[in-house]
Amino acid sequence: MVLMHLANRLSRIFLTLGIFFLLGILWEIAAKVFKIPTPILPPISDVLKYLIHSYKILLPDVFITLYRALLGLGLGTVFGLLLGFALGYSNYFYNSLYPLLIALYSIPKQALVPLIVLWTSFGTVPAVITALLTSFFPVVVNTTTGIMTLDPDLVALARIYGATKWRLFVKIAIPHSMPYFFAALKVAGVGALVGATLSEMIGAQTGVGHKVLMASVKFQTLELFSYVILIGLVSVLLYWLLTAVDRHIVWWAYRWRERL
Amino acid sequence: MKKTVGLLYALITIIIVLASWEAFVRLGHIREQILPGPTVIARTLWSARIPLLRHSLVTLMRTSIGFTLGVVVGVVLGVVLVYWSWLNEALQPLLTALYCLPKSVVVPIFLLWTGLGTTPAILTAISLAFFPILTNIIAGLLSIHSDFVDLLRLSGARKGQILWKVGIPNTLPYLFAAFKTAGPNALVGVIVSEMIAASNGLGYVIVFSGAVFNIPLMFAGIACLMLIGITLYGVAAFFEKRYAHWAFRGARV
Repeated sequence: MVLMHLANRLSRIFLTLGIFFLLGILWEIAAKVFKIPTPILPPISDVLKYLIHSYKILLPDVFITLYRALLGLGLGTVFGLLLGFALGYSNYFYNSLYPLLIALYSIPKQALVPLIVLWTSFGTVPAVITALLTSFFPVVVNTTTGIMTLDPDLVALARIYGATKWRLFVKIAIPHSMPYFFAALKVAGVGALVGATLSEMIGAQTGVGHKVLMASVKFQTLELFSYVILIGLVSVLLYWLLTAVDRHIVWWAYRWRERL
Repeated sequence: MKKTVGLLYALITIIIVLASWEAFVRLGHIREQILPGPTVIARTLWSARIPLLRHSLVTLMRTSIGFTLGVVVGVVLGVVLVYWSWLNEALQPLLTALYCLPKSVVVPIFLLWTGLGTTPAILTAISLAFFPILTNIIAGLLSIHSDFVDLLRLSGARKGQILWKVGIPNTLPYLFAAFKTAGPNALVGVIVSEMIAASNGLGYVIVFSGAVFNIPLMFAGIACLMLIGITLYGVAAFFEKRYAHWAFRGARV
């Protein structure tokens, strides 16, 4: 049983590697056979060579961006979770704040970047705030939705047993909203990286966003693609991490999957 | 009755927010270049209505094209991946990687390949809009009740027929739920691309007015954007309520 599981896992890993390898070969062939000039699409072998050769120059900016995104994500999650609980707990909060929240939710937060840059400063502060804003909203909305979609029968049953509003909230509503929260956290993680990089494109001298845009304008595609690959790796790792946390904490929400 | 009360609450909140904003700006003597009050923004909206309308229409056009293409790509890919499940297994890591990649860093690549303007905006919108559609289509198709499938199979239905007769209807609520994310996502894609790689559209207006310190114009641009965003969300939510209202059972603590 364990062995079969392991074999299954191994074959999946090989499949994954194979797909990426195939994609790399296709890229290489496309660039070489059609003789696409390097300033448009450099062959992947050149990009990887550049990446390995000058990772010491590339990595610091990746870490700066990661730091900004994570700080924003952390703050956005804490605020989002607290507000989500408040909205779920109190009808008064919900009725008065939720429409406003939806209105704010539907503005692309990315559009506020120039304003944030003007109001605060250059560099880290606007990037963190943008990351905070992009991660805050999915968390609030999903946490609230999680509480709003409670099974009425469950609530009624707990009421019959004499549960107070507070106990209902802590014992039923919060656990029920957790899968929604963690689903939002995964979206928020990706969103935080988008927010941070975008803010760097408009108002920063460091970070992947700034470097990528500069590289594109200067037709330095080796640098451009290296940064895109690195930030892609970072975001995949972040996503995996959040998925693992999700599976560990709200494993019970995935029970039904075993039957598929 | 309940609906009117909710609407009233929303209206009161918005009025209070706007009024306190105006009071804050007036009483605090805050300059327009830092934070314009709602009346100043309204005046700017009116005086710049023609260019703002033009840029809004450009953004709306790009968003709708990007959204539509994103839905097509998402639905087709979703059906294909469910029909040939080995393909799903094989492509899953690649799709996850694509999903995770911050789309903002892809805009410079689109810019490099296709130049300024509409093409990178639409490409960015597609890349953001098709993911929620894809995941929800797959979730919808996989959540078909197995008894249904067994019944149809017993009656001699082919795989394609089952997909068409049960799969698609079962998927509709999921699809409409996905519209609620995909619409705003398409708008985000367009705006991000316009901020970096365009010379028209609302994203460009916002960045440009920031660069020349015309903050009231920037707020007017954001207001237009908000209007488009709310409209998109509202249209999607309307369709969702119509076709998937059973998901909201209205339980309250």
